[in-house]
Amino acid sequence: MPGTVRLGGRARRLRRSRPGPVTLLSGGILALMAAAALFGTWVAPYDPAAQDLALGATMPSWAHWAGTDELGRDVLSRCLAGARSALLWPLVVALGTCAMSTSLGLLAGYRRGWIDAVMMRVVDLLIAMPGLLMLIVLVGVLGGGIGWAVLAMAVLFTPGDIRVVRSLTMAQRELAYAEAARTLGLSRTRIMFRHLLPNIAPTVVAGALLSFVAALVALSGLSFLGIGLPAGTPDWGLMIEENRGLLDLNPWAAVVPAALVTIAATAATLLGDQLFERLSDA
Amino acid sequence: MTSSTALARLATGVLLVLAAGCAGAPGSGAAPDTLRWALGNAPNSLDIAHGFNDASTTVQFAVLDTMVAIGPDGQVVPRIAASWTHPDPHTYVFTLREGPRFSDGAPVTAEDAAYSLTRHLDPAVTSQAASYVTQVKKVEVTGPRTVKVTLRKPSPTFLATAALAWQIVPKKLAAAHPKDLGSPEVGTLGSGPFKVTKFSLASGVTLERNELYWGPKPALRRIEVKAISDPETLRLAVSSGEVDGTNDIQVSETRKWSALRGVTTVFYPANHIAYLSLGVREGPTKDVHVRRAIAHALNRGALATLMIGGHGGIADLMLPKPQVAALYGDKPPKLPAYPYDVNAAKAELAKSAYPRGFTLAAPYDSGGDDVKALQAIVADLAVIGVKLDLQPLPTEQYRQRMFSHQDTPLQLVDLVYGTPDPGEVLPDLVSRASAGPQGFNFSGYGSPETDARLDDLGKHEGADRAAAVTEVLAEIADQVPYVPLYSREAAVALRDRYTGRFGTWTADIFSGIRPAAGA
Repeated sequence: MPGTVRLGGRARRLRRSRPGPVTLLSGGILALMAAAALFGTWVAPYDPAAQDLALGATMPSWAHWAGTDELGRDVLSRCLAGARSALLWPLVVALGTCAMSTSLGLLAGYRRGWIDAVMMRVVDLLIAMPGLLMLIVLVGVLGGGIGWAVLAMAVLFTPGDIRVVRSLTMAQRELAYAEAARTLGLSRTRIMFRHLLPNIAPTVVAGALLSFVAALVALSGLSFLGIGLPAGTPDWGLMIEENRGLLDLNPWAAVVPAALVTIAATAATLLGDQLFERLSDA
Repeated sequence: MTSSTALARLATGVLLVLAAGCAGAPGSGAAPDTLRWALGNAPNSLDIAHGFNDASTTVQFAVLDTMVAIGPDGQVVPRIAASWTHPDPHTYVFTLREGPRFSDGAPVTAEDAAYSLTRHLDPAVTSQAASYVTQVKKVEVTGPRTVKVTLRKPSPTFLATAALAWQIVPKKLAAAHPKDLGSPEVGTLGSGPFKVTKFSLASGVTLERNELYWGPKPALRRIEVKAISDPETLRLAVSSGEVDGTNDIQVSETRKWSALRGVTTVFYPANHIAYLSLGVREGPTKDVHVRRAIAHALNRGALATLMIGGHGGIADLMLPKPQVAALYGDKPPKLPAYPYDVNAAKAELAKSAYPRGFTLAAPYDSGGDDVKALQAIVADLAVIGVKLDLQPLPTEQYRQRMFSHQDTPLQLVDLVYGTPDPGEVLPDLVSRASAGPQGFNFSGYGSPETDARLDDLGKHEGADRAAAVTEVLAEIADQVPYVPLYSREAAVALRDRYTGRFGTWTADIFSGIRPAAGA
């Protein structure tokens, strides 16, 4: 076409690799939240646990930008401090789920045979169970506590991801590069983790971010139900539960943490989508 | 409305409008003598033997007569029994009034009355009210209209507990259904102001006026009772006119109820006390100086304001305020107190084996209403170096641990009692018999001397009895197995098309409600 400069393949990849506004925005939001998780308690204007029963619940003011809750605690400070548990535990769930599902999915998809058959029946069983209900029952039976909640959640989230990784692995193991690796006599472990894994990485990364989002929402839900973190811990889910009765005195005490959960979940979902597309194209 | 709050208020407003819209049109044209009532939970049984809980007893007392009742001032008054005598400390002889009939027309007999009490002692019935009648040794029909009750030992609380647990049911029906009387399948039959016309665990209870009732005719012809478990939905239901009222108002919600237009919320003292139980058998709280330090460190005034606002007050004695008033009038005894004083708390702690403080695990019911109070207590105790490690537990698991008396060194207890007599409370709190599994002596406090004092309570009456109660209360105040925190009021909300009279000892709330003039 006259007057049109056609870009080469490398240039096209470079243009694609430039992060778009959605990636920048969602990445920026998550980076800010991560910064709050790391340094929130330092920059918070008040001690998140400091109570002022005489003050009680108040609307936003210059002294308290998001107001105070019923125990007179500064809502903004608690939101900043709450970023830590809100992001840390979902991150642990996401990493745990990712590690377990990737290892087991690669194993099942590559080895096939009885290992695959046994693993898939167990996965079928776990998938058939209602996730959140199981989670509530498990955490209840195990005696509450965030540790059990995180462990139970990682175990319940893993089966779905195992299926996905297994399917991708089964497709990859039939390709020429995998056949070549086997012909060269490379070990199964090396083939699975050094050759097949990089080729299914986009899906694994996107899956990990989706697990993060699911864990963020589920853990907030558990906190809302009073399961998991002890009362008084600065945590977004717990704040929603504690402050939902204050809608007539300071609605922001519940609205701000609820908005933060929504924003964090949306940003992580969008970032996961973007990363999947970009890693797939690369 | 400031701009900073406009968005949140708007969103809340939209949600409330939507919810109110879903709830139905106000009033919805019900006749004024038909009352639509909401409870937080559905009644599970219309027999106190199998449904000894707030929701069930609310309906039971409208349908079933009791042998005696508790009057507005806390005194025991006649009901099915027209009178009684107390010939010796172990014996009561009741004379039934003439005229009461069950709602099917059958007369209420002495046989019915006697069986209605003895059935609670029958292991086959597995009555939830059995603990209220353990002092009963024998019940005999001594004449066509007389029933004689023999007690194992003198018990001044007997009449008050009889007003609660001795509900009169037909002997024939109760004997045929020891385990399922009061269930939706069997129902019940009473001689009270109302009769049951429908009972379902899912849709609730419908009552109609019992035209055979021997007492004053109730103003209401029909009552429809249903359960609305979510407090906010309940408030919206009353506000929108979907229901006409409720007696299931959480104390933390009183502010919102008082602000409702077209609804009058009536408050009255509840027979309630909230207290902190400190385990005396092991751990740091075994040390009396630690317990006294904890008592001094608690800002109970702030705690009471946080939990009950203006609807109640600080509890000074380990008794509900109505019981204090019934026993001592307006002159309660002056006993050792532990006012909020951080320095005094630190000084007490310095005398203990833990002068630098300690950490204490504090399991709690994650579904309970007291979580706020616990957080305030955590902050108060942190000031003197006592760190509470709050451990959330699901309700059932917490209750199991609470009543097994294991690993609960510190817990917040919130109880409502049924009678005006301290004899209902004190043995529960400090007798050794009550310190075992399923007992209410959560601190584990007790000694042979204390048990002897508790036994003495039954032997005295009048001023001597007040003195005996004071001795037990003084021991509790000195040894601090419990720290009394606050007593709250109860509340009934009624739409303005009705009026009602309620009090601490009102058992049948429906008979006190009538259509407002002009409704």
